[in-house]
Amino acid sequence: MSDAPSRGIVVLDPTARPVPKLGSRAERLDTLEGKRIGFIDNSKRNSDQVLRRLDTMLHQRYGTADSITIRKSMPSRIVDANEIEQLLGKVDAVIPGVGD
Amino acid sequence: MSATMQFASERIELPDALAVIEYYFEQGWTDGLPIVPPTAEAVAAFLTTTSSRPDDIVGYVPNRNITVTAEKVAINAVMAGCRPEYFPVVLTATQALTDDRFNLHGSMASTAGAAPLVIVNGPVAAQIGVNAGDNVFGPGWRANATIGRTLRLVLMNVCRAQPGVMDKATLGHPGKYTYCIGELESESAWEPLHVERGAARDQSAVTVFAAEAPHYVRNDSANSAEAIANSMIDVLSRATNRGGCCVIVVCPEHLQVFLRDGWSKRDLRTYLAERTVRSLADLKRCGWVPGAVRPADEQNMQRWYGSPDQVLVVVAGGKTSGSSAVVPPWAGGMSSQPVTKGVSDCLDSRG
Repeated sequence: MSDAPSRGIVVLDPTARPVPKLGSRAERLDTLEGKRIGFIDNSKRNSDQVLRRLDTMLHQRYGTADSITIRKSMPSRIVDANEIEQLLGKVDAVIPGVGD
Repeated sequence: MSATMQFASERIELPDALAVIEYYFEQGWTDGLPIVPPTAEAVAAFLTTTSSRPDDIVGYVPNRNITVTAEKVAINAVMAGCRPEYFPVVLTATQALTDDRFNLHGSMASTAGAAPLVIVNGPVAAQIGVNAGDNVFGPGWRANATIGRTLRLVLMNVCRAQPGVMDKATLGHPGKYTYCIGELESESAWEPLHVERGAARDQSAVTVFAAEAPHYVRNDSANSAEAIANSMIDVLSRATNRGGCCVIVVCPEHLQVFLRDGWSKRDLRTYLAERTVRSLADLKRCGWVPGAVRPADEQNMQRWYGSPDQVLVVVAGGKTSGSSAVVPPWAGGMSSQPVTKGVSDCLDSRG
Protein backbone atom coordinates (compact mmCIF):
# COMPACT_ATOMS: atom_id res chain seq x y z
CA MET A 1 0.00 0.00 0.00
CA SER A 2 1.32 3.45 -0.93
CA ASP A 3 2.36 5.84 1.87
CA ALA A 4 1.75 8.91 -0.30
CA PRO A 5 -0.81 11.33 1.14
CA SER A 6 -4.19 11.25 -0.60
CA ARG A 7 -4.80 14.12 -2.93
CA GLY A 8 -8.14 15.77 -3.09
CA ILE A 9 -9.72 17.58 -5.96
CA VAL A 10 -9.60 21.36 -6.28
CA VAL A 11 -12.56 23.04 -7.92
CA LEU A 12 -13.66 26.60 -8.59
CA ASP A 13 -16.49 28.65 -7.12
CA PRO A 14 -19.11 29.24 -9.83
CA THR A 15 -20.77 32.20 -8.19
CA ALA A 16 -20.34 35.93 -8.53
CA ARG A 17 -21.13 38.69 -6.09
CA PRO A 18 -22.56 42.08 -6.96
CA VAL A 19 -20.08 44.86 -6.37
CA PRO A 20 -21.63 47.16 -3.77
CA LYS A 21 -22.08 50.71 -4.94
CA LEU A 22 -20.84 53.23 -2.47
CA GLY A 23 -23.37 55.81 -1.50
CA SER A 24 -24.98 57.54 1.42
CA ARG A 25 -28.51 57.35 2.71
CA ALA A 26 -30.60 60.46 2.21
CA GLU A 27 -31.50 62.41 5.30
CA ARG A 28 -34.86 61.43 6.79
CA LEU A 29 -37.51 64.10 6.45
CA ASP A 30 -38.31 65.76 9.76
CA THR A 31 -41.91 66.19 8.64
CA LEU A 32 -44.12 65.52 5.64
CA GLU A 33 -45.95 68.80 6.10
CA GLY A 34 -45.52 70.89 2.97
CA LYS A 35 -43.19 68.40 1.35
CA ARG A 36 -43.38 67.55 -2.31
CA ILE A 37 -43.47 63.82 -3.07
CA GLY A 38 -42.34 62.17 -6.29
CA PHE A 39 -43.96 58.92 -7.36
CA ILE A 40 -42.37 56.41 -9.73
CA ASP A 41 -45.16 54.40 -11.32
CA ASN A 42 -43.67 51.15 -12.63
CA SER A 43 -46.71 50.59 -14.90
CA LYS A 44 -47.88 47.39 -13.22
CA ARG A 45 -51.65 46.93 -13.43
CA ASN A 46 -53.45 49.43 -11.17
CA SER A 47 -50.17 50.98 -10.04
CA ASP A 48 -51.46 54.38 -11.08
CA GLN A 49 -54.57 54.01 -8.93
CA VAL A 50 -52.64 52.76 -5.91
CA LEU A 51 -50.10 55.56 -6.06
CA ARG A 52 -52.79 58.17 -6.67
CA ARG A 53 -54.66 56.94 -3.60
CA LEU A 54 -51.46 57.00 -1.57
CA ASP A 55 -50.81 60.57 -2.71
CA THR A 56 -54.27 61.61 -1.56
CA MET A 57 -53.84 59.89 1.81
CA LEU A 58 -50.48 61.55 2.43
CA HIS A 59 -51.96 64.93 1.63
CA GLN A 60 -55.00 64.42 3.82
CA ARG A 61 -53.20 62.90 6.79
CA TYR A 62 -49.81 64.60 6.72
CA GLY A 63 -50.31 67.75 4.66
CA THR A 64 -47.94 66.95 1.80
CA ALA A 65 -47.85 69.43 -1.04
CA ASP A 66 -48.48 68.69 -4.71
CA SER A 67 -46.70 65.75 -6.28
CA ILE A 68 -44.88 64.71 -9.43
CA THR A 69 -45.46 61.28 -10.95
CA ILE A 70 -43.35 59.65 -13.63
CA ARG A 71 -44.40 56.40 -15.27
CA LYS A 72 -41.85 53.86 -16.49
CA SER A 73 -42.45 52.29 -19.88
CA MET A 74 -42.02 48.82 -18.40
CA PRO A 75 -41.67 47.53 -14.84
CA SER A 76 -38.36 45.71 -15.14
CA ARG A 77 -36.20 48.53 -16.46
CA ILE A 78 -34.23 50.90 -14.31
CA VAL A 79 -35.40 54.50 -14.40
CA ASP A 80 -33.36 56.26 -17.04
CA ALA A 81 -31.57 59.60 -16.90
CA ASN A 82 -34.49 61.50 -18.43
CA GLU A 83 -36.89 60.11 -15.86
CA ILE A 84 -34.55 60.94 -13.00
CA GLU A 85 -34.18 64.47 -14.35
CA GLN A 86 -37.92 64.98 -13.96
CA LEU A 87 -37.61 64.44 -10.20
CA LEU A 88 -34.09 65.51 -9.30
CA GLY A 89 -34.16 68.67 -7.26
CA LYS A 90 -37.91 69.02 -7.66
CA VAL A 91 -39.18 66.73 -4.89
CA ASP A 92 -38.33 66.08 -1.24
CA ALA A 93 -38.89 62.31 -1.27
CA VAL A 94 -39.64 59.58 -3.80
CA ILE A 95 -42.00 56.63 -3.53
CA PRO A 96 -41.64 53.89 -6.20
CA GLY A 97 -44.36 51.30 -6.71
CA VAL A 98 -46.01 48.87 -7.01
CA GLY A 99 -44.82 45.37 -6.20
CA ASP A 100 -47.20 42.60 -7.20
CA MET B 1 -2.43 29.79 -22.49
CA SER B 2 -3.83 27.16 -20.12
CA ALA B 3 -0.49 26.62 -18.36
CA THR B 4 -0.39 30.19 -17.13
CA MET B 5 -4.09 30.91 -16.79
CA GLN B 6 -4.93 32.60 -13.53
CA PHE B 7 -8.42 32.48 -12.11
CA ALA B 8 -10.04 34.90 -9.71
CA SER B 9 -12.57 32.39 -8.39
CA GLU B 10 -12.12 30.93 -4.94
CA ARG B 11 -10.58 27.47 -4.95
CA ILE B 12 -12.25 24.73 -2.93
CA GLU B 13 -10.46 21.49 -2.05
CA LEU B 14 -12.56 18.40 -1.44
CA PRO B 15 -11.71 14.70 -1.07
CA ASP B 16 -13.07 13.47 -4.41
CA ALA B 17 -15.55 14.09 -7.21
CA LEU B 18 -18.51 12.71 -5.27
CA ALA B 19 -17.70 15.06 -2.41
CA VAL B 20 -17.64 17.95 -4.90
CA ILE B 21 -21.07 16.98 -6.21
CA GLU B 22 -22.53 16.89 -2.70
CA TYR B 23 -20.83 20.11 -1.69
CA TYR B 24 -22.22 21.99 -4.69
CA PHE B 25 -25.71 20.66 -3.88
CA GLU B 26 -25.33 21.90 -0.30
CA GLN B 27 -24.24 25.36 -1.43
CA GLY B 28 -27.27 25.71 -3.72
CA TRP B 29 -25.06 25.95 -6.78
CA THR B 30 -26.92 23.39 -8.88
CA ASP B 31 -30.24 23.12 -10.70
CA GLY B 32 -31.12 20.08 -8.62
CA LEU B 33 -29.04 17.72 -10.76
CA PRO B 34 -25.44 16.57 -10.17
CA ILE B 35 -22.73 18.68 -11.74
CA VAL B 36 -19.35 17.96 -13.28
CA PRO B 37 -16.57 19.17 -10.94
CA PRO B 38 -15.15 22.39 -12.39
CA THR B 39 -11.43 21.98 -11.98
CA ALA B 40 -9.07 24.72 -13.12
CA GLU B 41 -7.75 22.43 -15.84
CA ALA B 42 -11.24 21.79 -17.22
CA VAL B 43 -12.14 25.46 -17.13
CA ALA B 44 -8.90 26.40 -18.88
CA ALA B 45 -9.66 23.91 -21.65
CA PHE B 46 -12.92 25.72 -22.32
CA LEU B 47 -11.37 29.16 -22.40
CA THR B 48 -8.68 28.06 -24.83
CA THR B 49 -11.33 27.11 -27.43
CA THR B 50 -11.96 30.82 -27.78
CA SER B 51 -9.71 33.82 -27.55
CA SER B 52 -11.07 34.60 -24.09
CA ARG B 53 -9.10 35.61 -21.05
CA PRO B 54 -10.66 34.62 -17.72
CA ASP B 55 -11.41 38.24 -16.84
CA ASP B 56 -12.98 39.14 -20.18
CA ILE B 57 -16.37 40.71 -19.61
CA VAL B 58 -19.14 38.78 -21.34
CA GLY B 59 -21.98 40.92 -20.05
CA TYR B 60 -23.29 43.11 -17.30
CA VAL B 61 -26.66 43.05 -15.50
CA PRO B 62 -27.25 46.64 -14.38
CA ASN B 63 -30.24 45.96 -12.15
CA ARG B 64 -28.07 43.66 -10.05
CA ASN B 65 -24.70 45.34 -10.63
CA ILE B 66 -23.24 42.00 -11.64
CA THR B 67 -20.47 41.50 -14.19
CA VAL B 68 -20.41 38.19 -16.04
CA THR B 69 -16.87 37.10 -16.89
CA ALA B 70 -15.66 34.45 -19.28
CA GLU B 71 -14.20 32.58 -16.31
CA LYS B 72 -17.54 32.27 -14.55
CA VAL B 73 -19.33 31.20 -17.74
CA ALA B 74 -16.67 28.54 -18.32
CA ILE B 75 -16.95 27.23 -14.76
CA ASN B 76 -20.70 26.82 -15.15
CA ALA B 77 -20.30 25.29 -18.60
CA VAL B 78 -18.00 22.62 -17.17
CA MET B 79 -20.53 22.00 -14.39
CA ALA B 80 -23.33 21.64 -16.94
CA GLY B 81 -21.47 18.88 -18.76
CA CYS B 82 -20.57 20.81 -21.90
CA ARG B 83 -17.71 19.80 -24.14
CA PRO B 84 -15.08 22.51 -24.70
CA GLU B 85 -16.12 22.94 -28.33
CA TYR B 86 -19.57 24.12 -27.22
CA PHE B 87 -18.03 27.12 -25.48
CA PRO B 88 -18.20 29.61 -28.38
CA VAL B 89 -21.95 29.02 -28.59
CA VAL B 90 -22.31 29.28 -24.82
CA LEU B 91 -20.39 32.55 -24.71
CA THR B 92 -22.38 34.01 -27.58
CA ALA B 93 -25.68 33.01 -25.97
CA THR B 94 -24.59 34.60 -22.68
CA GLN B 95 -23.65 37.79 -24.49
CA ALA B 96 -27.06 37.81 -26.14
CA LEU B 97 -28.81 37.35 -22.79
CA THR B 98 -27.01 40.35 -21.33
CA ASP B 99 -27.79 42.53 -24.35
CA ASP B 100 -29.90 45.47 -23.24
CA ARG B 101 -32.66 44.54 -25.70
CA PHE B 102 -33.20 41.18 -23.97
CA ASN B 103 -33.72 42.84 -20.57
CA LEU B 104 -32.43 39.81 -18.66
CA HIS B 105 -33.39 41.04 -15.20
CA GLY B 106 -37.05 41.22 -16.15
CA SER B 107 -37.56 37.69 -17.38
CA MET B 108 -35.27 35.96 -14.90
CA ALA B 109 -36.90 37.57 -11.87
CA SER B 110 -40.47 37.50 -13.15
CA THR B 111 -43.35 35.75 -11.46
CA ALA B 112 -44.35 34.64 -14.96
CA GLY B 113 -41.52 32.12 -15.05
CA ALA B 114 -39.96 32.41 -18.48
CA ALA B 115 -36.76 30.72 -19.60
CA PRO B 116 -34.35 31.76 -22.34
CA LEU B 117 -34.95 29.67 -25.46
CA VAL B 118 -31.70 29.31 -27.40
CA ILE B 119 -31.85 28.65 -31.15
CA VAL B 120 -28.54 27.68 -32.76
CA ASN B 121 -28.09 28.25 -36.50
CA GLY B 122 -25.31 27.90 -39.03
CA PRO B 123 -22.41 25.47 -39.44
CA VAL B 124 -21.64 25.25 -35.73
CA ALA B 125 -24.91 23.44 -35.08
CA ALA B 126 -23.85 20.38 -37.05
CA GLN B 127 -20.24 20.68 -35.89
CA ILE B 128 -21.16 20.29 -32.22
CA GLY B 129 -24.24 18.11 -32.66
CA VAL B 130 -27.14 20.43 -31.85
CA ASN B 131 -30.33 18.46 -32.49
CA ALA B 132 -33.07 19.97 -34.65
CA GLY B 133 -34.97 16.78 -35.46
CA ASP B 134 -36.75 14.12 -33.43
CA ASN B 135 -37.62 15.13 -29.88
CA VAL B 136 -36.13 18.56 -30.50
CA PHE B 137 -37.38 19.93 -27.13
CA GLY B 138 -36.65 16.66 -25.37
CA PRO B 139 -33.69 14.78 -23.93
CA GLY B 140 -30.91 12.80 -25.57
CA TRP B 141 -28.53 15.27 -27.20
CA ARG B 142 -25.58 16.49 -25.16
CA ALA B 143 -25.20 19.84 -26.92
CA ASN B 144 -28.88 20.77 -26.50
CA ALA B 145 -28.98 19.57 -22.91
CA THR B 146 -25.78 21.17 -21.68
CA ILE B 147 -25.75 24.47 -23.56
CA GLY B 148 -29.20 25.30 -22.22
CA ARG B 149 -28.23 24.02 -18.77
CA THR B 150 -25.17 26.26 -18.71
CA LEU B 151 -27.30 29.35 -19.19
CA ARG B 152 -29.52 28.33 -16.28
CA LEU B 153 -26.50 27.76 -14.03
CA VAL B 154 -25.08 31.14 -15.07
CA LEU B 155 -28.39 32.81 -14.27
CA MET B 156 -28.52 31.12 -10.87
CA ASN B 157 -24.90 31.29 -9.81
CA VAL B 158 -23.60 34.41 -11.50
CA CYS B 159 -26.72 36.56 -11.96
CA ARG B 160 -28.15 35.49 -8.57
CA ALA B 161 -31.48 34.23 -9.91
CA GLN B 162 -31.94 31.61 -7.20
CA PRO B 163 -35.39 30.00 -7.29
CA GLY B 164 -37.64 31.49 -4.67
CA VAL B 165 -35.17 34.24 -3.82
CA MET B 166 -34.50 36.44 -6.86
CA ASP B 167 -36.32 34.13 -9.30
CA LYS B 168 -39.92 34.57 -8.25
CA ALA B 169 -41.55 32.31 -10.83
CA THR B 170 -44.92 31.03 -9.65
CA LEU B 171 -44.75 27.86 -11.74
CA GLY B 172 -41.63 27.97 -13.89
CA HIS B 173 -41.46 25.34 -16.61
CA PRO B 174 -39.12 22.49 -17.66
CA GLY B 175 -37.29 24.79 -20.07
CA LYS B 176 -35.69 26.36 -17.01
CA TYR B 177 -33.54 23.22 -16.81
CA THR B 178 -32.52 23.51 -20.46
CA TYR B 179 -34.07 25.05 -23.55
CA CYS B 180 -31.89 24.80 -26.62
CA ILE B 181 -32.73 23.71 -30.17
CA GLY B 182 -31.36 23.85 -33.67
CA GLU B 183 -33.11 24.36 -37.00
CA LEU B 184 -33.44 21.87 -39.90
CA GLU B 185 -31.58 24.17 -42.28
CA SER B 186 -30.39 21.60 -44.81
CA GLU B 187 -33.81 19.96 -45.01
CA SER B 188 -35.85 23.12 -45.34
CA ALA B 189 -36.40 25.19 -48.47
CA TRP B 190 -37.19 28.12 -46.22
CA GLU B 191 -34.58 30.67 -45.20
CA PRO B 192 -33.15 29.83 -41.77
CA LEU B 193 -33.95 32.08 -38.83
CA HIS B 194 -30.49 33.64 -38.56
CA VAL B 195 -30.52 34.62 -42.24
CA GLU B 196 -33.93 36.27 -41.81
CA ARG B 197 -32.45 38.18 -38.91
CA GLY B 198 -29.46 39.48 -40.85
CA ALA B 199 -26.73 36.86 -40.70
CA ALA B 200 -25.08 35.18 -43.68
CA ARG B 201 -26.18 31.60 -44.31
CA ASP B 202 -22.67 30.25 -43.68
CA GLN B 203 -22.32 32.25 -40.48
CA SER B 204 -23.08 30.57 -37.18
CA ALA B 205 -25.46 32.47 -34.94
CA VAL B 206 -27.44 32.17 -31.73
CA THR B 207 -30.87 33.66 -31.06
CA VAL B 208 -32.21 33.98 -27.52
CA PHE B 209 -35.85 34.57 -26.68
CA ALA B 210 -37.51 34.92 -23.26
CA ALA B 211 -40.11 32.19 -23.54
CA GLU B 212 -42.84 30.22 -21.89
CA ALA B 213 -43.08 26.49 -22.47
CA PRO B 214 -43.97 25.33 -25.99
CA HIS B 215 -47.63 24.69 -26.80
CA TYR B 216 -48.28 21.87 -29.24
CA VAL B 217 -50.19 22.52 -32.43
CA ARG B 218 -50.89 18.86 -33.00
CA ASN B 219 -52.79 18.76 -36.29
CA ASP B 220 -52.52 15.57 -38.31
CA SER B 221 -55.69 16.15 -40.32
CA ALA B 222 -55.29 19.64 -41.80
CA ASN B 223 -54.28 19.41 -45.44
CA SER B 224 -53.81 23.01 -46.46
CA ALA B 225 -51.43 25.76 -45.44
CA GLU B 226 -54.32 27.93 -44.41
CA ALA B 227 -55.83 25.27 -42.16
CA ILE B 228 -52.52 24.61 -40.41
CA ALA B 229 -51.95 28.32 -39.94
CA ASN B 230 -55.49 28.70 -38.59
CA SER B 231 -54.82 25.96 -36.04
CA MET B 232 -51.71 27.87 -34.95
CA ILE B 233 -53.90 30.96 -34.53
CA ASP B 234 -56.28 28.91 -32.40
CA VAL B 235 -53.46 28.27 -29.94
CA LEU B 236 -51.92 31.73 -30.16
CA SER B 237 -55.18 33.55 -29.53
CA ARG B 238 -56.35 31.25 -26.72
CA ALA B 239 -53.22 30.37 -24.84
CA THR B 240 -50.61 33.05 -25.24
CA ASN B 241 -49.97 36.58 -24.07
CA ARG B 242 -50.98 39.41 -26.36
CA GLY B 243 -48.11 41.58 -27.46
CA GLY B 244 -44.45 40.72 -27.68
CA CYS B 245 -43.01 38.21 -30.10
CA CYS B 246 -43.48 34.49 -30.50
CA VAL B 247 -41.56 31.59 -31.97
CA ILE B 248 -43.40 29.17 -34.25
CA VAL B 249 -41.72 25.79 -34.60
CA VAL B 250 -42.91 24.23 -37.86
CA CYS B 251 -42.46 20.47 -38.07
CA PRO B 252 -41.34 18.83 -41.34
CA GLU B 253 -44.78 17.36 -42.05
CA HIS B 254 -46.45 20.75 -41.83
CA LEU B 255 -43.60 22.34 -43.77
CA GLN B 256 -44.34 20.06 -46.73
CA VAL B 257 -47.92 21.34 -46.81
CA PHE B 258 -46.78 24.97 -46.66
CA LEU B 259 -44.30 24.37 -49.51
CA ARG B 260 -46.84 22.49 -51.60
CA ASP B 261 -49.26 25.43 -51.26
CA GLY B 262 -46.52 27.90 -52.18
CA TRP B 263 -46.14 29.58 -48.78
CA SER B 264 -42.86 31.15 -47.79
CA LYS B 265 -41.81 31.77 -44.18
CA ARG B 266 -42.74 35.40 -44.74
CA ASP B 267 -46.23 34.35 -45.90
CA LEU B 268 -46.76 32.37 -42.69
CA ARG B 269 -45.42 35.13 -40.50
CA THR B 270 -47.63 37.71 -42.19
CA TYR B 271 -50.72 35.51 -42.01
CA LEU B 272 -50.26 34.87 -38.29
CA ALA B 273 -49.47 38.51 -37.53
CA GLU B 274 -52.54 39.81 -39.36
CA ARG B 275 -55.05 37.20 -38.29
CA THR B 276 -54.22 36.40 -34.68
CA VAL B 277 -57.05 38.43 -33.23
CA ARG B 278 -59.77 38.08 -30.66
CA SER B 279 -62.70 40.27 -29.78
CA LEU B 280 -62.40 42.66 -26.87
CA ALA B 281 -65.64 41.16 -25.58
CA ASP B 282 -64.06 37.72 -25.42
CA LEU B 283 -60.99 39.09 -23.69
CA LYS B 284 -63.17 40.82 -21.13
CA ARG B 285 -65.26 37.71 -20.53
CA CYS B 286 -62.07 35.88 -19.60
CA GLY B 287 -60.75 38.70 -17.48
CA TRP B 288 -57.72 39.26 -19.68
CA VAL B 289 -58.95 42.83 -20.04
CA PRO B 290 -60.79 44.56 -17.18
CA GLY B 291 -64.23 46.08 -17.54
CA ALA B 292 -67.78 45.12 -18.41
CA VAL B 293 -68.56 43.81 -21.85
CA ARG B 294 -70.26 46.36 -24.07
CA PRO B 295 -72.06 45.53 -27.31
CA ALA B 296 -69.45 47.30 -29.44
CA ASP B 297 -66.75 45.08 -27.93
CA GLU B 298 -67.97 42.09 -29.93
CA GLN B 299 -66.69 43.64 -33.15
CA ASN B 300 -63.63 45.30 -31.63
CA MET B 301 -60.92 42.89 -32.68
CA GLN B 302 -57.63 43.07 -30.78
CA ARG B 303 -54.45 42.02 -32.56
CA TRP B 304 -51.68 40.02 -30.97
CA TYR B 305 -48.94 41.32 -33.22
CA GLY B 306 -48.37 44.64 -34.89
CA SER B 307 -45.94 43.27 -37.47
CA PRO B 308 -44.74 39.99 -39.03
CA ASP B 309 -41.36 40.83 -37.48
CA GLN B 310 -42.84 39.82 -34.13
CA VAL B 311 -43.40 36.27 -35.42
CA LEU B 312 -40.23 34.18 -35.62
CA VAL B 313 -40.42 30.87 -37.48
CA VAL B 314 -38.06 27.91 -37.09
CA VAL B 315 -38.29 24.56 -38.88
CA ALA B 316 -37.57 21.74 -36.44
CA GLY B 317 -38.84 18.44 -35.13
CA GLY B 318 -39.18 14.86 -36.28
CA LYS B 319 -41.07 13.49 -39.26
CA THR B 320 -43.41 11.22 -37.34
CA SER B 321 -46.48 13.45 -37.02
CA GLY B 322 -47.99 16.82 -37.77
CA SER B 323 -46.89 18.36 -34.49
CA SER B 324 -45.74 21.93 -34.69
CA ALA B 325 -45.53 24.26 -31.71
CA VAL B 326 -46.10 27.79 -30.60
CA VAL B 327 -43.59 29.20 -28.12
CA PRO B 328 -45.17 32.20 -26.38
CA PRO B 329 -43.20 35.12 -25.02
CA TRP B 330 -42.53 35.92 -21.42
CA ALA B 331 -45.59 37.71 -20.08
CA GLY B 332 -43.69 40.97 -20.22
CA GLY B 333 -44.27 41.04 -23.95
CA MET B 334 -42.20 43.71 -25.62
CA SER B 335 -40.26 44.23 -22.38
CA SER B 336 -37.87 41.69 -23.84
CA GLN B 337 -36.76 41.42 -27.47
CA PRO B 338 -35.30 38.32 -29.13
CA VAL B 339 -31.59 38.90 -29.76
CA THR B 340 -29.46 37.27 -32.46
CA LYS B 341 -25.67 37.32 -32.30
CA GLY B 342 -23.02 35.80 -34.53
CA VAL B 343 -20.87 33.08 -32.97
CA SER B 344 -17.25 34.14 -32.94
CA ASP B 345 -14.25 32.72 -31.21
CA CYS B 346 -13.42 35.92 -29.43
CA LEU B 347 -15.41 38.35 -27.39
CA ASP B 348 -16.47 41.65 -28.89
CA SER B 349 -15.67 43.62 -25.76
CA ARG B 350 -12.98 43.15 -23.23
CA GLY B 351 -12.96 44.71 -19.82
